Amino acid sequence: MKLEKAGFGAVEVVDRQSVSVDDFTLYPLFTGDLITLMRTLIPEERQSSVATAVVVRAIRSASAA
Amino acid sequence: MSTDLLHSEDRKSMVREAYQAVVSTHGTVACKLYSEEQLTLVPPSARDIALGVGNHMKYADIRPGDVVLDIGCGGGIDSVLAAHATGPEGTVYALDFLPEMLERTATAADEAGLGQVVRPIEGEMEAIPLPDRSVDVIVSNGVINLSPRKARVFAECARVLRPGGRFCVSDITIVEEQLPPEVLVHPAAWAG
Repeated sequence: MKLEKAGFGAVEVVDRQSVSVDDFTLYPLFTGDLITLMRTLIPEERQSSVATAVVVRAIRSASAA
Repeated sequence: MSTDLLHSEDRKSMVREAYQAVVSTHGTVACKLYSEEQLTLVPPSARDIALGVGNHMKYADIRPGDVVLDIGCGGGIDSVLAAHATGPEGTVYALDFLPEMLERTATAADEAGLGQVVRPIEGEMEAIPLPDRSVDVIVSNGVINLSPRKARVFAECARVLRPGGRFCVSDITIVEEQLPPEVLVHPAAWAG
């Protein structure tokens, strides 16, 4: 895992939330054409969870460079 | 001549253009993610433009007097919340590569009466303009996924954090196999 390679320890995911296509409409990188593409190509029953928002915690190891 | 297979400059331009054009979400994102108690601590200017993806601030364990780095401060909501937690003895470095966002964060901090605690700094997360071992806590909300060089970002975080320093970020993850190829090749799918 990239965080551990960088010198972090005690890496943990403390929260996970599903992200839907509707959620993505709020963010500027997800343009109208991309949202339309997602609504067209992703089966409706899967559109409620197309990504996961996570909260990650870690501690910088004392031994890191 | 080398070729940048990560399309770093293209990605940066795409993010810059998208975020420079950001308009108010009227608090839609903030109200979805943050508690009422947290929302009472931030001015409307920061609430309305919030574009984070999670509420890592409730897990960040920021203490009075801490030095905090908010990577990709955007409209300033997390910088203001961090400044409330550090109090006047602490410092919150609000890092963003867009001057427009730094202005928004400075305005939000002033409106919250925390302008002396929040220090906007222009720079990139792949080359954080702070000294080694100068930070107690790093927070970030939906920003690190935008970097084509995430390992470099994590290395920079490790460099600026003091030993024992805390890293607490919200971000988006996708499982590529679950998305159609037509979506994956869209430029916005570089983020993730």
